[in-house]
Amino acid sequence: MSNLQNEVSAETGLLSDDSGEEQHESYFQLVWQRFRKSRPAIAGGLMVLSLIILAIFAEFFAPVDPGDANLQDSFIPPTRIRMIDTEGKFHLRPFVYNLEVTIDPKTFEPLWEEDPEQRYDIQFLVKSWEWKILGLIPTRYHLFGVGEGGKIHLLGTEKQGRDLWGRACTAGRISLSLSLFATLVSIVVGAVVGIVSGYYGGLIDNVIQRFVEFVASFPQLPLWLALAAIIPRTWDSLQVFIVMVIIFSLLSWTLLAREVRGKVLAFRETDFILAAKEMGASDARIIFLHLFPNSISHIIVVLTLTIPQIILAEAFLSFLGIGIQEPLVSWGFLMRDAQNLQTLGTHTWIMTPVIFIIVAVLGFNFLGDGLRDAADPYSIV
Amino acid sequence: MSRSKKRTIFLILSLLIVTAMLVNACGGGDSEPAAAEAPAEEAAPAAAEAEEEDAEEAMAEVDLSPTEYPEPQLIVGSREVQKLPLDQILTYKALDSYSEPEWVSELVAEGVLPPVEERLPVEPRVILESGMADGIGVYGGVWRDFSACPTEGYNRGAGQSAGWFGIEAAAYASLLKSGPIYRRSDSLEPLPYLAKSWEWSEDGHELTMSIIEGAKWSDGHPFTTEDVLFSWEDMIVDPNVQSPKGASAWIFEDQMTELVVIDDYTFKFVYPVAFPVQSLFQMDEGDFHISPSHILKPLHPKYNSDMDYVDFEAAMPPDKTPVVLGEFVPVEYITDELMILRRNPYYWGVDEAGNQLPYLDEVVFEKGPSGVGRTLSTLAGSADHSNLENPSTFIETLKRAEEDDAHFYVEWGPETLGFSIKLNLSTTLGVKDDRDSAVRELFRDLRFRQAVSFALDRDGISQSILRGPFLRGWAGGLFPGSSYFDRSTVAYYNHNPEASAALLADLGFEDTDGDGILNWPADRLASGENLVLALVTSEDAEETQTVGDAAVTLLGDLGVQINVRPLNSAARREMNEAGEWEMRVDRDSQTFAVPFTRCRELAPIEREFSFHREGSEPRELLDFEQELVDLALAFCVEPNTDIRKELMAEYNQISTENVHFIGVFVGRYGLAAAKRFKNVPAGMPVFMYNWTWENVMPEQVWVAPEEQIDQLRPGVIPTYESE
Repeated sequence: MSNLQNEVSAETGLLSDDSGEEQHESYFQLVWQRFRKSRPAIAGGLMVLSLIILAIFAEFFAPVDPGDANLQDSFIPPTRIRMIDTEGKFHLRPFVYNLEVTIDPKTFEPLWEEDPEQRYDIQFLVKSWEWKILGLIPTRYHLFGVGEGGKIHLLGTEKQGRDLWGRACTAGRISLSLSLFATLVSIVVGAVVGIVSGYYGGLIDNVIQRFVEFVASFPQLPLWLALAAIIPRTWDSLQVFIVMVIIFSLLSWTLLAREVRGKVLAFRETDFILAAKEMGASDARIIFLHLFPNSISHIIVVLTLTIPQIILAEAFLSFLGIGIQEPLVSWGFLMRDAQNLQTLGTHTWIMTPVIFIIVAVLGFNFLGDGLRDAADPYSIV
Repeated sequence: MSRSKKRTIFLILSLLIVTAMLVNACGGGDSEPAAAEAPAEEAAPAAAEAEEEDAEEAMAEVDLSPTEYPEPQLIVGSREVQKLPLDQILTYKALDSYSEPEWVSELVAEGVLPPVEERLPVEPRVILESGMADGIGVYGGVWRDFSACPTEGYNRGAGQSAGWFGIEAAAYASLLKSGPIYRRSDSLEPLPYLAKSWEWSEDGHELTMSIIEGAKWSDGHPFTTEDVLFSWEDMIVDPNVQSPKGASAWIFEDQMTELVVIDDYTFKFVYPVAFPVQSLFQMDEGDFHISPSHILKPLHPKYNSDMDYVDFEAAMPPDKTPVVLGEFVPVEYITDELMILRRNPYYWGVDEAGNQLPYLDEVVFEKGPSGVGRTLSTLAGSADHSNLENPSTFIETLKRAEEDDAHFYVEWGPETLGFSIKLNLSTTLGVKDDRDSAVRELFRDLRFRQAVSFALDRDGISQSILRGPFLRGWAGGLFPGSSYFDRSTVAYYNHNPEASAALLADLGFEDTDGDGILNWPADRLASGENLVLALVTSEDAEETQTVGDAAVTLLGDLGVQINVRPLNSAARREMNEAGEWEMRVDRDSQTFAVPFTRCRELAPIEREFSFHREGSEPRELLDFEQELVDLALAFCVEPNTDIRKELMAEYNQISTENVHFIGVFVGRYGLAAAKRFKNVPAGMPVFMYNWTWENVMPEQVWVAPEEQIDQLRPGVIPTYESE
């Protein structure tokens, strides 16, 4: 009976038990109940989670060391995974053939053909090159691979002969962490500025809002172009990465500040805030214990929707060559190689990292949409 | 589980994920070189000595000698140039009769134009049939092309651009023409053009030139030495006019050359030195622009007090038909969209049958924002010519050319498309602190330049840019496609990571903090710091970025951290002028293909030398640089071709032995040209002494009547408002 009631409760969100005592579900429980009903949101969450796992354990999923450059292996097309060999025989274990290249005598186009003499079975949980779990624990295990002498490149190789699948997984670290950090910083700045602006009002509000307008009107592309020219030449890619995080953060907090200010303006006249004031609560207590938690649902939604924007912005800048540089790698950086005629005509697989960007952006957007709907569980569907 | 606990767990998990991603993203990973073991914080003197001995031993064991530079691979689609003596290519003589297109004759009949005999000079420039690939042609037809530069105006002598990409070549004429030198078997001198002959005085201080007699500008006004003198005195020599090649190019041993007019068709140069034969290349297309004095003199501030130099520069605006001497005249320009050039009815050249040239009636330049648009337009069928200079377009262009309905063919020229890494050799310009000083001193050390050269897997880089036989490693020095190139003189420090590591160790670099990056030795100004160098690439040239990325990987494997920064051309120019760069990837100029035309750019002779620029403090040339300067100066004034070749052989040896700059790869320019064009010389290079439009001699190109396409402005000739 109790279980049944719980299920009913979960369905309806209205709570009661046998004894008639009122039982409260937390706000987050209510949000979760509503969120999990949204299939796109769940799918979005899974997409994001998959990308995060691929990024963290990229080396585990990569059969070839994604940092291992071999210029002679450049632009190898994706390996075709087979279960039926050239003689038409079915094999239970998937396998690959190594590729051989010939050059077309007239067009000089490289022609890749499978060599049936060089067949390699795909093995799972294989031991090969060493990597470190979370950069700390050494291991040689990989999800899949082929025997010695065999080559498997799920998405082919790029211009330096590095495995594109492994590179795309690794690139998620920069793309996702950059967007996550930049979003977190912008959320903190935006939320604090918005709450302070809305709570105090008057001159402070006026000054802050004019400053918000100033920052919001700043043209971003010229700023990037200028930065590209003035960044000290001894800065390495990591420092450039940190600067990118800071700049993205500082340019993307304004919208949130405006929205939070609006929420706080509404809250500050409500009874619970007035009561807190009457009871002598300090401003800091009111801001951090009352106003901030009440705005958190909105902030989380903005967070999930800002991340894909920053992923796209990073991809855009790296595509233009003014973002991430070697030896770091991001999805946008991988796409930089996809902007020439040769890629469109001959090396089409170089464009595949765009799938990661699409999945990330869609995933975060689905997630954000689901959260937005779920964030207000008291509304009528 | 309570609400707060769940929240705490969520927060901890989130933090863990973010931390893990950051650790993974920024951690050292496996890219550390083998040397990055056992950090030695404070090495004991004994240990230091032992390491020094180890480095010496390592040096002794490693082979540091250069390897033999390989022969080029043969490539399908190249043809031998049919070289001929000048007298089989062209001459200047009167013919019995002359003819013109029928529609022009109709204009003559209407009184719009004088008869062709009156429009032509006494002795026109005659293109001989023996020099034509497909013989005497027929009239009519269009050449459709593409320009990616804005058209500022037509006052070229004052530095204005008409849009490049062949527009200047089609519309303007110069005293001499160096583009077709590749066709000459008798000499490497420029071909006569407006100047039909020249003679050196016995002492070599005077060069007397005769210009074509009776030639006319496109408005019918006679061309005389008055125009040459105006172009010299009031354009080239006038410091207020931004002429393409200013007076400084005519100063020898601190003295200025003089130009003296003898009569309407004869003048002479008086030089302060004997036989400065290289100056002939300063009279060719693009360098000694002949401006119409009857149009511009009245507008020059020297003769017109109402004008200033800014107004003067804009005196030939793009919306007004210019008065020119070239084969074609721009008659219509739609800003950033289209330019139409029509045949110049006063052009002063004919074929052996007396047909006034050019054969084509019209040239159309479509305007676009980027040079690659020319190749794309050619592939799409809307342009008739493209210079294939971007390797990433080669295969797609060839694939299209092989299709049955392709309207163009592709031909490959000599190996003159080279990319290299330059190191800034200046000790003062752009140096701001001790680290900068240390970097420049390092660059001036031969061992470091050799180390970088040994680190580069040139063949790998070539294949990573374009598989196949198009590209191969290049040591630097002269291009293999240059007629002065001698393979035996090349010192080729090709891929040898062990040699590179040994040289870096010999320089004292060692990874003392175990972070995978070498640290500067204690006796250098940047002591203890990581060896981090900045490498600038070009946003406009994709191959420079590929080379930069490869340098990050290849030098990174040896513990040298390279920070790549792609910059646009304007930012690069500013950076070069300020000297604030360390390493850069360049696409090299024709200096290394045809050194005689730009002999002063071979070595740091001029203050503005590319990678050893002089600032406010005097430049400190390295010993080998001084040798290169001496050789280049001797080469500039050497009239004997054989001796010039010997000088260049010596130059190439010194340059490559000392790794003056680090060649990376060399390839070939390709020509994509319409199949319907006749008289395009076999084996014509896209880029040698000049570019396609100058090399092809467009006045001789013709199209069979059945293959001619519709003209945009049939029957139009350039017309001018009477003053």
